[in-house]
Amino acid sequence: MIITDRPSMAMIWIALAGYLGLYPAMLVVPLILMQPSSKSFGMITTFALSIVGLLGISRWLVGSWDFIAATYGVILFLSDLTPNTGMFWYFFIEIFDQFRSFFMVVFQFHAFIFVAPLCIKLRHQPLFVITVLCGIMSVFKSYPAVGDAALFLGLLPLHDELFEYFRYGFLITNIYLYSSVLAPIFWHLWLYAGSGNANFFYAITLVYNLGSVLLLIDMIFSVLRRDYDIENPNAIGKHVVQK
Amino acid sequence: MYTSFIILSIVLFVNNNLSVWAKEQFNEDLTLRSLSDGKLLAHFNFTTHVDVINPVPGASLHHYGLFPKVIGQVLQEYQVREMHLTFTQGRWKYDEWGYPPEQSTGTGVELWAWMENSTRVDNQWKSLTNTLSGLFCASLNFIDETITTEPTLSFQSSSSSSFEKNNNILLRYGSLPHESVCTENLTPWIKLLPCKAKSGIAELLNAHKIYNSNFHSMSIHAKSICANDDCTRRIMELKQTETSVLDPVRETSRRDWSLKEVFDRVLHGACPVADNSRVHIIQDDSNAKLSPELNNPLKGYDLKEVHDELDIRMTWSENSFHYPLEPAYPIISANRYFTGYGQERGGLEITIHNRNDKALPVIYYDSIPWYLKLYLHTLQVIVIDEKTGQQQLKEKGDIIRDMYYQPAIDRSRPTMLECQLLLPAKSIVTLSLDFDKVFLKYTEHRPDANRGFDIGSAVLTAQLPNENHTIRVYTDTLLVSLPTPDFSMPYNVITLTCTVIALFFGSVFNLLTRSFQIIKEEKEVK
Repeated sequence: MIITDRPSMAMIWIALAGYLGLYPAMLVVPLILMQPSSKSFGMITTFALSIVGLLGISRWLVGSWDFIAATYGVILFLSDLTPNTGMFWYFFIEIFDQFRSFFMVVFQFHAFIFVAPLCIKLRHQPLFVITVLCGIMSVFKSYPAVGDAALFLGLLPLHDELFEYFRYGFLITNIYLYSSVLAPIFWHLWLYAGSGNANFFYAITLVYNLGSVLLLIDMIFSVLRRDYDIENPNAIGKHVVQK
Repeated sequence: MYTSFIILSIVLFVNNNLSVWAKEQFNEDLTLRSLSDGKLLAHFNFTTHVDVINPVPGASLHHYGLFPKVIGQVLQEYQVREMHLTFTQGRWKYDEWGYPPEQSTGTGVELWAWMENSTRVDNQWKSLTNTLSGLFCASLNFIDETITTEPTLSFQSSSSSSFEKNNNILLRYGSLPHESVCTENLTPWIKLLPCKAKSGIAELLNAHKIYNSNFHSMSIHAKSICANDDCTRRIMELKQTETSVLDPVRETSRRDWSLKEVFDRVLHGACPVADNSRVHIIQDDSNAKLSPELNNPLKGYDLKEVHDELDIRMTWSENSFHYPLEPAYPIISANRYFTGYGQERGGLEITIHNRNDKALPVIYYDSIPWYLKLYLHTLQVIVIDEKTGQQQLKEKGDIIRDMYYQPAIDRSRPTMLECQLLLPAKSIVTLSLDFDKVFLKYTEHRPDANRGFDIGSAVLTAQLPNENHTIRVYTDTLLVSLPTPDFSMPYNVITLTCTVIALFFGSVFNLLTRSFQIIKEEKEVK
């Protein structure tokens, strides 16, 4: 309701989310798509002014621009390698120094590039695009946490019409349950008991992210299949292939 | 002939007036002392003292006699006023042996220098560490900006010129606790002595025996300071000391010692260029018999009067040595240790004993590397009364009078914590801090990664009552194990992570760019 009735408030809140975490800023595009195109310019200016205002307040509080390197610089360049539920930390612990900058660019680029294709292909369903982008953020952010997955899974029931088209529902549910139980156990085994090593915890984060990835793929497939079924009612119940 | 004589005298006259005038003096000294637990403390001290009169202030010394040219050039080139380098191996047991003759007893290598204040101080410090590294065959070049600190209260300069002390000189301190000391470090050290190891007290420096000891420490203290305010008189001093705690009881179960048994060498006389060459014996126990007899115990043996051989021997008339039960506790002693478990976080605690009747101010200095993230807000102070064992209720501000704290920057500088503490009389004060352990990159771990990382000693500086100089008490070095990744996995990690990413990217790419088509069902042909 906020999005349809008060677009400027939506822009201010998304500017705050992007200011705090950098990645939520890519949700601006689907939010703009939710409104008629006459309002888009106004929304963009609201967003830009909010960002500038927030950065200006930070600059005034800190006294210089040093905070940008300490906040956004850490998010982008991964200065700290504390393990989390994401895929970056072990990759950048193990990688050799000469490849570090290349893979950093590739990973960060990968997190942001899905905005354009999703918005183009699914421009009539911007709420779905927001859900998928939240899912992409929970997997491919530089420092994700289970809270990001909670946001994504919380937005998922908005699209319950897609549930009948899921192909891997049982597998995904099991993967989530399995990795939720094992992740704290392997963390404890690595750091406190000393009987496991880093590979245990890394493998579980890999499995967890695989589950999220499968869920995202399934969601996109379901929405496209459902659109195809709506356009071609004779295709309901039949097998399709992509060409 | 007359013209050549006149030219020669003119040249000599001009030379004399232009050059600086230096008066050199070399003293060597050996102090032997039998400690209460049967060990033998041997302290070698070689001092070269040069008094330089500069007609032009700041002119450099060109003629080096007894003072080694290498050290003089190092001091000059890098604008060093005072330099202290110590190589130590083993632990000095403060509780049993009291205070050491040389203050620096932290394991590993310790280097601190007061350098002239300029914009290039950090470059000069780096060049100094590299030069000394080549000079002493030690890897001192690892003392870079991730290890170097600038203490504010500890390690004061002994410069007598107040102008220099206040404005002009900066302190740099670095230590490598993991550095091992071996004969490659002793050999260049001996080469700096005027007589090398050929005559005088340095004859006894037998590396096989000195390094076969419970504690050994070799140090160089070099100074080049102005003696008066306008720097027309300069004092250059090089003090080389070697301290060893040897254990005769280990070999023979008796604490009798002689120079031949302990060092496998005897003294043959003084170094010819030495002004004073003496061997002092400090005898705490009157039961011991010393041979040859000493006429004047305070002056010791004068090696200038020895012409053939001198073998000093001390014997006891007991059958075997019994270890004393009561340790000789010093006034200030400290013990630092880690607390906590697991490889995610931990705690650092230091316990300081004050056995004095009155409250004593003490400066506590600690430098923690950047891979332990200290949280200063978790600093706690607990005071326990020594006699009753009860905890006294004191405010943190009663104990910690002043604090200088420099937080660490990852991969750039260490944490430095310096506190001025006022220790209550007859008390045990415990400071504790919490920290998180950093997950290091693959290449930042050492080759023996599971050994862990060494943390250098903490230093307590105090002015004891009845003494006119400050003493420094060093705690043990610590070993912290940081969480290690699996070192055999780089290829596997890259492959697996990129597989998951490629799976997502490929599938989404396919879904978004292709359109559906119904598969035509084949009708069965009857």
